[in-house]
Amino acid sequence: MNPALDLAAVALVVIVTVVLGVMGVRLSRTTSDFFVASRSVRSVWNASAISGEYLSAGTFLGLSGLVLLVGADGFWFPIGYAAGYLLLLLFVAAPLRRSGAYTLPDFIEARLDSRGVRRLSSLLVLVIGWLYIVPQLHGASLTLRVVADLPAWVGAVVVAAVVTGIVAAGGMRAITIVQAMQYWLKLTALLVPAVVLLIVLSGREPSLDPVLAFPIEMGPAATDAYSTGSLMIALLLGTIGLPHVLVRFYTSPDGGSARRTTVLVVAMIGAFYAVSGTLGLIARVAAPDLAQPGLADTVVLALPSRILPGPAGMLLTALVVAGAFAAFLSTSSGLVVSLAGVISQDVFDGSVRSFRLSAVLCAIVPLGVALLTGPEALVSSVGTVFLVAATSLTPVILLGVWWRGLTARGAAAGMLVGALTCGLALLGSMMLGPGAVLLAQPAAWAIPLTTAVMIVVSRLDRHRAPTRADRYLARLHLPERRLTDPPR
Amino acid sequence: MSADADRSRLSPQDRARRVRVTADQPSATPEPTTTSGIALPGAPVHEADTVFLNGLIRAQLRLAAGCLAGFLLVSLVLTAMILVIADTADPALFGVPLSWLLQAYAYYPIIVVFAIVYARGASRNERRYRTLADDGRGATP
Repeated sequence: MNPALDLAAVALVVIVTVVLGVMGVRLSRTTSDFFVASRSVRSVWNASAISGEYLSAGTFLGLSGLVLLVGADGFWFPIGYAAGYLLLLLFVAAPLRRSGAYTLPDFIEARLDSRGVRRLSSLLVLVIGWLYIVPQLHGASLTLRVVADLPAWVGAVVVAAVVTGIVAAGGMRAITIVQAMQYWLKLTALLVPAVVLLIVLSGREPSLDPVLAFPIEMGPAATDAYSTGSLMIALLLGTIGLPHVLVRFYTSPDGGSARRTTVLVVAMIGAFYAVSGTLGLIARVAAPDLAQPGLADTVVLALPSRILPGPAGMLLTALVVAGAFAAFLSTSSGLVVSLAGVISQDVFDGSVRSFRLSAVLCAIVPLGVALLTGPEALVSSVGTVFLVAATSLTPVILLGVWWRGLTARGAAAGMLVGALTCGLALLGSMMLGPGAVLLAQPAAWAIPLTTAVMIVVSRLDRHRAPTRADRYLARLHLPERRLTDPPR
Repeated sequence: MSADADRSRLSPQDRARRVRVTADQPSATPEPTTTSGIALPGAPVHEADTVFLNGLIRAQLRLAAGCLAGFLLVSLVLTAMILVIADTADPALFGVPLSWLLQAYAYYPIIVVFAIVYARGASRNERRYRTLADDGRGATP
């Protein structure tokens, strides 16, 4: 590793991000531009941006670290993230695009005709968003500490400042350009080292016996059925409830193109996870000594110079560092955009000025949390965010799109029960230790419970069903006139 | 037009009989002049359109649920295969056990295939709806 080279790589990513962001600012003119890039972003461009935003510190650094630490069980996380996008496509992509709403609370208010439920959902969106930004800032601290021995606060502050600046200056159009670029940077930053390291390793005698590198007790057969199943339910359903994922669908021109975009996203993130998993497999052979909690997440940064001492390894490390910063910047900026949209409309008057102020607020709170807490395992903290989203917000979105009987009271009761159950379960699991599997992985029972509460309360409250539910469902599911089909 | 056609099929006696033509009787419950909710802008929803729309929603939900079930089934079969391979032979390819390689790479193509199947099916459902809705309106512009 070469600190000067690595810091130069970080600076380059930050500069390119800012320059592209400023170019985007020239295109930002109206309030609509600020919030959703005027809904005219093309499918491939938009798919790159969505993938760029989705692939966070958790997968860029955390996935290989987890495979190194716990073995084949680590692969379930990216499988769940990718399959989460499949569920998003199946159940909500086109209807949410047609809903005509800017943010998730906008959708919930329009569907259920209730300001109270809107406020509750805004609060949940805010908590989920903040929880998700914290691991990104932790990732940045970790990276700068490992590659340049800088104090922990530097990385978090740099990422928070850059993100706030770009979002406040350019809104979503700038973010789309930046994130599309960052997807390709992230993919390159893992693909090139993976290919080079595989070529180098294939020419050497294996330093570690495959039986030791890939032991059966860490292999696919050692999986615990309940905790893996419950984790998969949380990851599959959690994607639908993530605030920054939904806001992206409003940028497609129509429902059909939202679906095509999502198919591309599934392919793009799948490709990235396959490459990232490859580095995890390489790490098991080449860096078994890093398999310790706290250290494992740094393995992607350490691998190139370990296998390739000299300038080539240094250059590859710098590339990985650049990709890692792209990951922190893109996910946090996507989150800040969607949270700022929610705050500016719920707390302020929804103007461009209030959007800028909200962007600052949205970055400061998680920065404070990140500075006060230490970096935990990146993948599992991201997994917790998915769990909270899956238990509280996903049921209300799914029922809102597909069941006309959902009422405001039903939705509010369900969201409250979901959020409380999830919070208490995680608290209980912290106190009881990892042995309490039902509490550590509550998705398998908490999501059905939330959904049941929503349905039962809505049925009891059925005379309050929104009078325009039928009309709104018609709007969600009707294809746009003659715009949906691609030319054949 | 249809009244003329009906009349031409009547016998001469029927045709001679005088018919009183009146406006439709007002229904027992008058149509409300205002709605309690806020109507979205756009044309009023016709009965035929409602039937077609409900058909479309059901078709889309069936397709989505079918794709989900298919995806889960194929994934479970793959998982079972991986477990069997891990417990039995587990040959190593490029120094990595086959079960690990399958776990690392084999799920993504399945996810992509089901995504493509769904997106095509959903567009087909919407095309079918449009054809039906246009026919229902007598193909008026």
